[in-house]
Amino acid sequence: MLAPLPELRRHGMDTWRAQTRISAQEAALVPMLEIAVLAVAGLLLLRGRITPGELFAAVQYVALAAGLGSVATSLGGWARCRSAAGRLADVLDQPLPAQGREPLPPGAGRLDFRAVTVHGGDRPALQSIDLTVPAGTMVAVVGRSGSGKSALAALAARLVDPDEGAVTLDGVSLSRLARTELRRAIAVGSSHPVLIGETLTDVIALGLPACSPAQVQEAARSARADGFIRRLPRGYRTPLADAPMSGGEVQRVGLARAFVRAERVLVLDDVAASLDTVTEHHISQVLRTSLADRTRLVVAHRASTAARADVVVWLEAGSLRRCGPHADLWSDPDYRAVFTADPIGAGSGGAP
Amino acid sequence: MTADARSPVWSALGSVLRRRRRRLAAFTGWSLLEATPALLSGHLVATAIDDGFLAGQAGTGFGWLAVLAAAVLVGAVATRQTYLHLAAVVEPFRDELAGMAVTGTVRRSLRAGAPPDTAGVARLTNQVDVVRETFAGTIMTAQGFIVVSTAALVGLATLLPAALLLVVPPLLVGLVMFFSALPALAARQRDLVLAEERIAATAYTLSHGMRDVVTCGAEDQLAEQAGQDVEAHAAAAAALARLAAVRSAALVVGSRLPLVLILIGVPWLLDHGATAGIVLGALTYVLQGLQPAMQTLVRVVGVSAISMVVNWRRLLDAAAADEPTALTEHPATGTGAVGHRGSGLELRGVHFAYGPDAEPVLRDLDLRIPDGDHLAVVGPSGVGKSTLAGVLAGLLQPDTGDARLDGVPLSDWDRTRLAARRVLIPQEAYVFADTLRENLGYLRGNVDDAELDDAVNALGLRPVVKRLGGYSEPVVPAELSAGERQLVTLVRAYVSRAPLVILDEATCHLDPAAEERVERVFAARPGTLVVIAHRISSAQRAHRILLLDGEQAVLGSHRDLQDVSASYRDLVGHWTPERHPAPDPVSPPIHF
Repeated sequence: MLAPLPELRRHGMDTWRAQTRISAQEAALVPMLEIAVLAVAGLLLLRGRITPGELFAAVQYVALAAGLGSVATSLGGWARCRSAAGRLADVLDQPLPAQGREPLPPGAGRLDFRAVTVHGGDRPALQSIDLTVPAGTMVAVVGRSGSGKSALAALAARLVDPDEGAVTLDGVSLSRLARTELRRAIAVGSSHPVLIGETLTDVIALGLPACSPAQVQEAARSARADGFIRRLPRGYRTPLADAPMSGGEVQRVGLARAFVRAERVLVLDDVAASLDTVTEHHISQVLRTSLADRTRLVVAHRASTAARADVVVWLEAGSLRRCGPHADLWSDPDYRAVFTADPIGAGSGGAP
Repeated sequence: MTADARSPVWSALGSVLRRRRRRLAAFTGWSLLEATPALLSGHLVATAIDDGFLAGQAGTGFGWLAVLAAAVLVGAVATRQTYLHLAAVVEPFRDELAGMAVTGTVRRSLRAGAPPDTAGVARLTNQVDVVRETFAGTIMTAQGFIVVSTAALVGLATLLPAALLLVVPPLLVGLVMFFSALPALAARQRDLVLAEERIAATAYTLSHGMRDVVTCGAEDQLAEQAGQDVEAHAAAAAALARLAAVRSAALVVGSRLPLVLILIGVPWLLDHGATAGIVLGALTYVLQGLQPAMQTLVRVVGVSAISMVVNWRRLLDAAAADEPTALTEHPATGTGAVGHRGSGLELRGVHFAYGPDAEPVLRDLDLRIPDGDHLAVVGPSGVGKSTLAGVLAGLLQPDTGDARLDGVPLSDWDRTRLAARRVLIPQEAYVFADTLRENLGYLRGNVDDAELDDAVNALGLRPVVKRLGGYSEPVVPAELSAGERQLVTLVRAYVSRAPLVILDEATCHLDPAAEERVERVFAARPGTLVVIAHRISSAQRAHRILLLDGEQAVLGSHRDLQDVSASYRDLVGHWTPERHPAPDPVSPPIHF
């Protein structure tokens, strides 16, 4: 690792030589200027045109002029300051997403997509989707990559708003719900969660100041994260920075964070990707037992996940191709092709 | 920061300075010469004015000024020489610093249980360079200040001794003010750097985790945190600026006040025998000698040197500590070559936890792995398989209990001998930017091509060798796939000659067929093989299987475990689909 050091030293010496030239010139330049001024002023003094005091003043002025360089530096700082302020103004001018004010209506988590269209690049990411997810059902969203699965999950989680149509939770459009109400009702688990917070407890209870340690631990148990968190240096109080975690462990903590807040709806975006099969099996059991009363929208890449859902939503090129139980759809060769086309267990430990 | 932690850097500095004694002497010599103009300027100006211009002798005046110009040129040449000699001292110091910090950071990353300190390595170059640059600047300035101000004061004392009374007291007051403010300045500067780092960390979280922040409804929480970080930074900057005012005051007292006092004291000086020329000469000493010297001192020491101290501490943090004490405390005992109380690995009552408050990962574990064994360790992820691998390899020390290799406690093994006795290949394959040969032979030194060929063909690295164009071609780690990187480290382990090989999910990025090939090749290699299994198929190939399920550890054959352990049956049952990746087209696989 240290092999390039000699070369670094060579470059270092080159820099020194350049610096040397500059400093030597600097060391000569200003005094020479002062001597020149002294000579001229001395001549004037000799002719009685100036007094010794004025001669001193002239030399002082030279010293002051030599210090002008630092004034230029300050001016440079002013220029940087102006351009930085300009950049900040660009950012501050960005419009904020509108937030609603309405409280959650009574209900158990019924999701409706009404004529929803999301514009994409060259073609719509989702086109005129009409879909009702009854409260308490588990829906698997399947389709080839690019079919709009993630866009549908993002709509349900209000990470994006539809360009046309509306997404409603228990009858109220997501865009009209107050932000805090919405986030308490709908939780999201993703395959690559970013963990935020000081300690493991903070991470799981992110954004939920009223969440108790017992609730945190219960969610962690459901997500099969409790065991390894307890083995961390300070258990749940371990600072995130001191917690060595594998990808699968990070994902389980992310799931615990989703479980603790999913009051009505749980959106899972391909969470099985880096879980071992035993853990995945356990978590799908949790989805069917302790979380069975929630509405669950699961983006699925595996046939086994789809098989566990009450209903499968099959997307193709941004449109709804078919909708129904996995067993009914399975007879369709196109449907089966959705699962075989995806790379399966691509060596990173995923099981189909 | 303890005094002990400081010592490696100081001793490195000491040894560099000792080895470069002649350079240092030359440096000092040239810097004395550099003071020539400072020493002579006042006298020459006084003479040029009194004997020249005021006496009506223009030629004489120009003559003395020409002497002064010559002195300035000599000084400039000397400046150039001091720089070059200083460079020869500072550059090797940088090399030592870089070496220390790299070693420390890498060791810290190796210490299992801590996340790898990648940021440390990245930060390193920058910090080392800051230290080098400011170290050089500080030496130059300190040296320059001492030499120039001494020369100017000596000149002043010989020209107009009475003026010393007007110059020395404010100079001393200014210096005392400046140096007494320095520790506080350094502390404020450090606060500022830390505040900046917190802002950077929060900004990173916000930009990478925006989706997570939004879906958790934590916008307000994060905004408040970011706000607090920004406020703290502003407060730190304001505190530093207030102290900087002290610095400016010190500068005014030390360098401007003497000038004013001399001007005020002109009548009194004239009474003490001064002439117009002599007063101008005295002013020259202050104006051209003391004042710039003091300004440079305050600027460099007050700004750069403080940033040096802050970065220096960071480097010390990286360089200090991480000597793995357990492995070096008894280098002489237990060589492993004699006194076999049994060959192979043996754990007795091993207990391991990552901290006093943590639940133990390994609990009262007994395990004997005789030479020639092929053991697979299975269990759900997060159960402590990698921890066990670390204990078996001697990288982690059990809290209680006994871990021995060939009858000698692993902590007593000499590190070099241990490295030759066992090799641990972790999940994250480390391939470095060098030739393929360097990478493959890293644990051995020189390996001839025939031997490399055998290993490469057996393990399946041949396509990569072909694609790269041979063993002497450079490897760009990022251009290899994760699986290819693992194959490189596997070949490295295979040719290492270490009798004990521990593969910690080292084949997880290979497809099942390639993994099977690798395990069969390693099983046929003489010596012991421990496989931390990523897939259950690894277990079926081993002689014996150790099952860790978080509750207990069970050892046995595949058949034994299927009979006695429900969690093993569970593992096998749900691991099975992986060996048949394509779903059955007729009946969908439903496990429950």
